[in-house]
Amino acid sequence: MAQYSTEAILLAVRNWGEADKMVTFFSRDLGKVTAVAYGCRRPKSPLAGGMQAFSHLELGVMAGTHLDTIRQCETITSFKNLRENLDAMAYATFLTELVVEVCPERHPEPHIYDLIVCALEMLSKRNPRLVALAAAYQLVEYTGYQPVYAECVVCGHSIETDAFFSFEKGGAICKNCKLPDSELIDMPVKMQGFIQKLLELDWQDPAAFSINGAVLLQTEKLLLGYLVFLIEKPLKSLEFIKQLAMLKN
Amino acid sequence: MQYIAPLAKLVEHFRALPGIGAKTASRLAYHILDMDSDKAKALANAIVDAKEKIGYCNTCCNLTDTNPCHICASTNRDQSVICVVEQPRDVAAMERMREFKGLYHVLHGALSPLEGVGPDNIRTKELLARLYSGEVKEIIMATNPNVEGEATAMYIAKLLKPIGIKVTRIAHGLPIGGDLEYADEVTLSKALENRREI
Repeated sequence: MAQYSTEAILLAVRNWGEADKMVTFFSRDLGKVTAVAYGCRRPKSPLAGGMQAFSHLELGVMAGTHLDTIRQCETITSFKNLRENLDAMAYATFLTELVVEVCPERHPEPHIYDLIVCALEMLSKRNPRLVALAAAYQLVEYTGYQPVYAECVVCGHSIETDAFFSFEKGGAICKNCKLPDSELIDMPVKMQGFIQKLLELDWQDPAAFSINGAVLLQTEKLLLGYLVFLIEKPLKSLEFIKQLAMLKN
Repeated sequence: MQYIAPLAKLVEHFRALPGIGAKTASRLAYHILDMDSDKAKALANAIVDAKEKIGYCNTCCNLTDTNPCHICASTNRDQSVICVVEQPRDVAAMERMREFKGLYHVLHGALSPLEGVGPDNIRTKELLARLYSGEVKEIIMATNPNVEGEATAMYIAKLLKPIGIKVTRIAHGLPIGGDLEYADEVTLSKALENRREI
């Protein structure tokens, strides 16, 4: 069996067996990998502290026939602020769930990896709702299912006024191409500009911006609708985010 | 391997238990066949008894054969402190310590957004209902020190904030008997954060 080292973010961790955990990690050079961390639920295990969701680690892994085994880990960043802020943690779960759903096993996605590391870092520093939204919009761009916002997907003309968005066609539709009975959501000019800002957000030096509540809701609706259309099921973390919002109200 | 029908059925039932594979299941089944008839009946009765007599305590949601459970019914326990744990086995672990004299509340799980476990799936409503008497002064969150446990502790602390009850969290740090050099960075940082004057 070959042993390998890799830098990774832990996307999902669940209890397995007596004192073990089944871990889904996302590595820059290997993509999404599922592995077992034996004995890591015991307090004296050297893996105990590292085997937590969102941890950014250097992993020592033993390749197996069916499942790999995590043998060592060294923490690069624990993102402990995420665990101390319920909202940031909820949005971090949304992003990791999204990666689990859209990335295939063992397919390196270095752009998505860098994006997730930056977004997890930013979640506890800025408004987590906006950070998660920007990261999710940018993530979809790397999945191969990127929607077209700037041109009409039917006639190809550039979108310069209020338009619509079609999940099925994967992009914007101008007023002239809109069919009367088609299921579309509104994409006003303000929203188009906001989406552009989210797509261009620089994670090293994120610009501050203010946004109208209605536009934010519409922009979220578009993204979440498109994600559900792509992965064909609702994201579990969204229900949790909704329940947290209810607690605040 | 082809088993005779009653043996195959027994093996199948053992295999359905967590952590038991085909080999262990057949070894247990053969062991039961080798047992005295009385011992086998006692085992079967113990399983049926446990299943029929054990339920949840109406107060703390722990497993019990009496209602309320012996901890909730005890007059020697401090009624003003409730220790909130994830599972009934955590109550057993805390009781082994023999130092905690308050009451417990078992959530039967922890919040896990990725597994779809939300506040409605754990026993938070039952906990809130216990607090209206005004007798409770402190809630100790003894959920596991992992992401789910932290989320649960934070959620309950937020939930109880308007009621004004003190919510505390058990400390995180180094295990007794462990070597500092083998401790991971997260645990060490928590241990340093939670240091106290001696």
